[in-house]
Amino acid sequence: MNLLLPHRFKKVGVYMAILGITLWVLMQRGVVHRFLTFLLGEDLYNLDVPVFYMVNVGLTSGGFFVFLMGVYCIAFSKERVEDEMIQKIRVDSFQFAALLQLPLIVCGLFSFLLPGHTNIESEIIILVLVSSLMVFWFGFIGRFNYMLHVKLK
Amino acid sequence: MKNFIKEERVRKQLTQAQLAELVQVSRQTIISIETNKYLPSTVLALKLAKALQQRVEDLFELEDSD
Repeated sequence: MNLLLPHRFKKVGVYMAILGITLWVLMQRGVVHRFLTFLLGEDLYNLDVPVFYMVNVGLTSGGFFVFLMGVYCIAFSKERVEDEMIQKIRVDSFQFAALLQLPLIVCGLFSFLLPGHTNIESEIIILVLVSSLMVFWFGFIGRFNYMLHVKLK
Repeated sequence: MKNFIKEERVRKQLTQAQLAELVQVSRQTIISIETNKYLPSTVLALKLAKALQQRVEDLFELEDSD
């Protein structure tokens, strides 16, 4: 069973990741919100209006989702020549990334045991879980490219 | 494990890219094998031997540390 994407998805993934993270950062910094407020005026564009609130949440989570999909495409696209050495490096990098992620998953599970359910604790749990996701992808991509372009060259 | 892939390839006047194409791997894999950074599988070792018209045991040699 081969679940890898064709090689051309690597380039698509780079564009998606850049676009997604840019949109997410802009949404987090409130740039889009300020721009739309300037464009439509405060009377029309208001986050108290359910439609605009949904658009705001949709763009923020959409940006992050596009970024994640882009990173997935980068990580799981075939190389130009997908031979046994590449496959071995892929497996090795996967193990490395899983090991890196493990402590964060354990921390995430323990953070559920924190007493009380304040906003800060919820944010900590989300932060730990998002970090574990990021650590896996970046650990995998980093290790794979290090092995391929530095160590085995 | 020591190997004589590079010596045989040069003797046969093949480039790394040509040998890579013959055994259907990337040029980087050939580089890694020649510099002893990657140990090929039995299948790839047999393919290399066939491409270089040598016996596997003439291309690869066990060392004391193996």
